[in-house]
Amino acid sequence: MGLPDEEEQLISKLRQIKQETKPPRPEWKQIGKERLIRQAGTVQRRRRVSQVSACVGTIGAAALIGIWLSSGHVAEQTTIGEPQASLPAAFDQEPVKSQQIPSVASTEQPVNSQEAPAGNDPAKKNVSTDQDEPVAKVDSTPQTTTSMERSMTPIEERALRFLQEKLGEESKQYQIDPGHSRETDGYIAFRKLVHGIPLQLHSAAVEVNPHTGKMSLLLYPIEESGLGITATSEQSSVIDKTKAAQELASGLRLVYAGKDRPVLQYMSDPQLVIDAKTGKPLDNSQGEKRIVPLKTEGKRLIITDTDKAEEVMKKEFGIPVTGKAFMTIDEKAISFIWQMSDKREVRLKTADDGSFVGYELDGSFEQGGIPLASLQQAQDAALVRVAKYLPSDVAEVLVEKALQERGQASFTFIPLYQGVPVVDYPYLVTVEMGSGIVTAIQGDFSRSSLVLPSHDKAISLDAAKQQFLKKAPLELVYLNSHSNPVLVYQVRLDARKPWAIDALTGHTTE
Amino acid sequence: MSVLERGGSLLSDDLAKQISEIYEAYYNDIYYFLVYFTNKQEDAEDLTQEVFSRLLKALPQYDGRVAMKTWLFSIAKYVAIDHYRKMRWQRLFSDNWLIRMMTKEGLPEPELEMKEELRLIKEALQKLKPQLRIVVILRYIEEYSVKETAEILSVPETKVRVDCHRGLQSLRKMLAQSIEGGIINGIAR
Repeated sequence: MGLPDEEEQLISKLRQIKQETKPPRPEWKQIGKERLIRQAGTVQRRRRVSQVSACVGTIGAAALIGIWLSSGHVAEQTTIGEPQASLPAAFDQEPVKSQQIPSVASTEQPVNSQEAPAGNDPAKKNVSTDQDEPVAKVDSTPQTTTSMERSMTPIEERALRFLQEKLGEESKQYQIDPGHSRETDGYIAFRKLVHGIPLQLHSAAVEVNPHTGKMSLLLYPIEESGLGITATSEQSSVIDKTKAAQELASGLRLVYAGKDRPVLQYMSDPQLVIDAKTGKPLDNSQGEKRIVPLKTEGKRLIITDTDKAEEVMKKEFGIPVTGKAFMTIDEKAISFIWQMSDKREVRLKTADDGSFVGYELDGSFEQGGIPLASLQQAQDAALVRVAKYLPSDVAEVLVEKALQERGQASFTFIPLYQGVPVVDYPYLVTVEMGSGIVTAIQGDFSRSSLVLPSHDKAISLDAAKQQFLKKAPLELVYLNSHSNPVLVYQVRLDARKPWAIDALTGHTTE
Repeated sequence: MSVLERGGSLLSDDLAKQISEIYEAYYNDIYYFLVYFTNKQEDAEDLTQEVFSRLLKALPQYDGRVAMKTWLFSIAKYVAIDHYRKMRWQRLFSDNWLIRMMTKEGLPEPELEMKEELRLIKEALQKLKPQLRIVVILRYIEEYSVKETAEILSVPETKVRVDCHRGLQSLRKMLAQSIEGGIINGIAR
């Protein structure tokens, strides 16, 4: 028998495990839910089939009994039970392919080589890729996973081999999607080709565990119904790519790009895509982009220990955390975590040097807040929260995203330096509508001021547009907009090297 | 009335909606249970999905006599044990938590010690027999009462008490073996 004190101590340590455990990843949870819903659909369909078949079977059995009765065979039949269901169980698992979990997500970031629709306007085929031709280049040959223009990295090669091994011939329907891959995390995304054209957000992914090297394949099953017909018919009526390029050129903007040493570039708005049928920009769901003035203070927060973390949460942000924070360290950040009652969690993050990076409240914190009536009110609250910590020479921010869903408003603010967006310094803020509380804030708050090169010597927007029309690599893809995929033109992007024009030299970044 | 509250057959025309409700309501409970059991986030996520898939198949048999949460936990228990059987010839211990704790610089000494203690306890927990591990997780990490634990596991309360005691004893024994004069001497003598 152990001593009661020792047992108590052990139990107390066991309870601490809870505090250190990683919460479920929301994207996986959502993916799992979607998969379950699809399974439920399958179950229901099979059940209906089973019911209909059972009914038919009953009628059939009754008819047989009638025949037997009329032909005298009943003499040997003492009892006739319920018709036995000969059908397969109604609650089978989904097909193997569907058992994999989808992975590729949100923002549309295209990929390397691309084709125009095969079999449509001949004028659209065989477009020269000569960079001096005054037309945006669009690849037109049907594409497979092996016809990549860019060279594959070793991890991509491994992922592709794994995909080929698992899917066999079917793997030819997939193409590496660098725009959605995260190589540093061992995550290589693929997108499916429909009639030779990539279908965005209907994808596969191979994950390579960076520690064990173990690979897993995740598939996002496509609802094939209707897609084939839509795809074929739409491909026959796409607009001329030159028109698409002109529309896309209207979205060019001068930006500071890059994390460590931002440089001036002209970039196409990554969310801008052109409906290949109408030639018009496709609405995006992230809200209208607007520039908002604000008064920033450039206040820096340095958090070096749990006491300071507690003080910051309480005094700076008014979040009433209780108890000593649990501290975790990983490659990217230091986190201070408070496990509140009712499984609520508060997490404060800093960079290695203790610079404040953000905080996050998990769970409902509705008590005591004032409900917000509009997205605008939520935006005001979000801006008030970030303004104090933004570099003092930022006088405006671009509202890159403003969305309200599931009781929360989410914003992405891009700071403007002398009127030019600094695109790789986004600030993400989430506000709970029911309470008005800022539940999450994230960004680089380590600078009290920004020092960036002047944009006086940048080439003109018109010159950049000309360059864009000459050299921009457009691609045609299906965007999965609800149930109907829409054929769109977009600028091909690679997560490793986004396509852009150097605003000082006029050269492209290819 | 929500599907979570009512009894009787659940397999109506709106199965997708019902399973969604159940999923949203209990996902975290099941996930945390499985992550404590497996010590691996990825495995726990996969197994949680497996639990809900099994639930979907079994929903027609649900008559509302036990709470949905209890029922889910009983499925999770079998999923966890199945997983244990599959993994028994493989390496059992995740080094994820270890890897995350390897950067020691900048950590105050007491926090280092606390992390080391937890690491050893997690390791010991993984070595417990699955049935005892489940009881220990439910009682001491999830902090369910004896009555709730008994209900979830469909066993008498006395068995829960006995298993809790055995579980703690085994943990203490393992901790004592793994450390000699180490930082958790106070716990594992």
